[in-house]
Amino acid sequence: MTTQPVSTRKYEYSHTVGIDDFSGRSFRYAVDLALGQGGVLYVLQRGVAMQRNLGVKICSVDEEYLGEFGVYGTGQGEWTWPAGIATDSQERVYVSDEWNQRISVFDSKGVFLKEWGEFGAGPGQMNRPSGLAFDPQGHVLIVDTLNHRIQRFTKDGEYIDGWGGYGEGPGRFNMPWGIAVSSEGEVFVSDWRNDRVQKFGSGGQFIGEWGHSGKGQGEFDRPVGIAVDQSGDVYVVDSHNHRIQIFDGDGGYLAQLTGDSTMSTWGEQLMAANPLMVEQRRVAKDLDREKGFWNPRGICVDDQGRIIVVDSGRGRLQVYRKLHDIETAKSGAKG
Amino acid sequence: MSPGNDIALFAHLMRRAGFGVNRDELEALMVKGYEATVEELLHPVDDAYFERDVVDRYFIEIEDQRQATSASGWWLYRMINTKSPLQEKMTLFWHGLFATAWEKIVNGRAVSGQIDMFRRNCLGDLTTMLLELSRDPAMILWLDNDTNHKDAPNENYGRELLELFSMGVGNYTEEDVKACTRAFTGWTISNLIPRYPWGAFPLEFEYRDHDHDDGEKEFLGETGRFNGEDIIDIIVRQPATARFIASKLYNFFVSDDQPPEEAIKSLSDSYLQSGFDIKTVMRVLLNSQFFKEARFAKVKSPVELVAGVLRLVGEFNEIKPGLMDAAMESAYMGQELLNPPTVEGWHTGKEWIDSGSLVGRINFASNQVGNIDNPGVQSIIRCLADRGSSLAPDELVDGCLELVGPLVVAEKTRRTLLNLARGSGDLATETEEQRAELAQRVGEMLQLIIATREFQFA
Repeated sequence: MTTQPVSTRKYEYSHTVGIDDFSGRSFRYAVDLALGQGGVLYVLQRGVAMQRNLGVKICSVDEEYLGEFGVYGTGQGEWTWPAGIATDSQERVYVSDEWNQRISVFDSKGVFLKEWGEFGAGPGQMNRPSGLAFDPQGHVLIVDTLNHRIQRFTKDGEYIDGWGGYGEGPGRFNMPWGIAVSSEGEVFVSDWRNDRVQKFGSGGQFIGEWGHSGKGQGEFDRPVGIAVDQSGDVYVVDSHNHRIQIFDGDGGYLAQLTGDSTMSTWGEQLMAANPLMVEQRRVAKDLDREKGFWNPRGICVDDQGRIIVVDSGRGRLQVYRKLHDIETAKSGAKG
Repeated sequence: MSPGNDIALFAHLMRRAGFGVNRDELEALMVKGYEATVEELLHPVDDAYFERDVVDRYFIEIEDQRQATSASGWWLYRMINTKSPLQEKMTLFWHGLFATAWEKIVNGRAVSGQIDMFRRNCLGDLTTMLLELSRDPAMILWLDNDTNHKDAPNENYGRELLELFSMGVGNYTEEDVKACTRAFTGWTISNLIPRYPWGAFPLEFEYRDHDHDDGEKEFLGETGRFNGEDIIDIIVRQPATARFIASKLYNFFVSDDQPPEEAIKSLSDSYLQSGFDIKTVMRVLLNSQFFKEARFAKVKSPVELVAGVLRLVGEFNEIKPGLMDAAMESAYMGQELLNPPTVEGWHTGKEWIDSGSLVGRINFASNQVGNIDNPGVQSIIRCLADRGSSLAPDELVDGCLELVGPLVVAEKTRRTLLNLARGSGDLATETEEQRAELAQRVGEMLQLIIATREFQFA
């Protein structure tokens, strides 16, 4: 397995979950994922896949397929453009919908519980909600993309506070997407069209920012998902650069992951039932090209240090492990 | 009437060289003048205004390009919102001529990559186009040139290059087909990664020298150790190629009828004299008298109908759900983008119409123009309401005909529309209630107009 070059941490590829297909035990156009208890993953799909099938696939990080839920539409409990997913401490599942302008809530089996949200630009209203995350108080933070801001709500949808607005300066956004909250309550936002990450205090006060457009170390081409681990390292899905970049909590560059995929258990089982596929793979050359990420979008890090990447363009999840966690010299952050 | 004052001529130009424009756009073009408009059409602008990153954000399937439907959805979106309509129309022309179908390729990125290639070269020289076509991974798979080996030639691509793509049957011999085929041995794609379990990967052209037949060949009267590039150089300078391209352009842009010799001569002369430059040929064509006089001489293809109606009503002017479904509408009428039925492409003209496809065309257009909330329909309603304190039945009919085209209909058709309009009498436009009533009547009149025989013609 490839271990990516790092400064003081080490990351080891673990395994791949999934195959690419429309229906059943597979992923197609997955955009985000959320962690449940005991290694359960809720993988959110969208687009044509959502229209033809169900929006959330439930599986375990150990490749067990557990079910699916979510229906395309505009009615109660239905989604048209699902964008973000998160779970609360009771493992209720929250899904943002950019077209229906609302957040819908389900239990861990996918039973619809409630929904809230209203289109608009006023406090508590939203225009294309995308990334979701919970803060240590159990409040939900929502990326309000076309209002270019972050808003905080209670679990029941009561507005608490918000910050941001359109722009390039500190604390301003241009179509932000992903959001993550550290155990200390610090908020990290992937500021998608500004190609940067911004860091805020638990009350929304601007702390710092890093990154700009490009392909180099610490640069981004449309950052999407973002996660923060228990020691405060930040994982950014650098989608159009087909990689994950890892930083310390102040934006000091640590490493990048570019994908190491191997055959998943579901893939092996598919092959076992289809000898022609096995033969096609036997004669094919250059299969190493399959390893890399292709337009990844979502990411989560669980409490065991497992880094789970939604490799959207390939219909799979790639799982890594963080092996070491050594303090590193901090550099690179602004603000 | 001078060309500059003839709004119907500008509408004709924009239907043929694009997918139609609304009244405001027509009036702006008239200020520019006809020839200046043609020049603008011939010079596509940078397409960064599409903000592809935003499109991809909301349509993951367009970013992914895994399926033909997502690629065709993106293309339809371009047709509706383009600032360079001739570029999209020419791309559609080449797609019909060099027909390559998803059904065999089963690789969305490959077929959409071919469309991008057509768009890039659509107004360039034919030499470059044929060269890129011969290196295009989708075409190589479509016509099996990946199985055209030095020791085991496969004539599929070599034959169609001559018969369907450049010269036409009767202008070459079987020996020419063999020589052409041998020249394209070794033109293949890099090794395919199997589609399972993680989907199709982008394909790349690869030239394998060891699999190329480097022997001497005789082709169209010339002798040499020709490779594919040499073959294309010989093909493009043939008078038969000039006539073939002229004839195809005439049938696509001018008329479904047999091209007159005078038109073919004019277009083929411009092709040969310009160094096989398609832009030059199109300049001659769009400025010609035979083009200007050929109004409503072509049956709209399903794609022209769908894109034209969506432009007319202002639908999908912004990113919204339903785009992929809209892209499938033309398929239900007999023209599935990126998936033509055979290498011959679609059979056009009156063959677009049968009882099933006609019902599909009318239902689709009727649903769109009958939705009075659509911005383009709202614009038509506003324009008519602002013309006075009331609208007589003939003003309603003629106003609607004018604003969907102008569309010229037979007197009998107009009388029928007028009789139906008289059922509502004069329509007042002063109060909100009256305007709401007017809006309903306009929507109904538009539905009747798109159901006429005349609306099916471009």
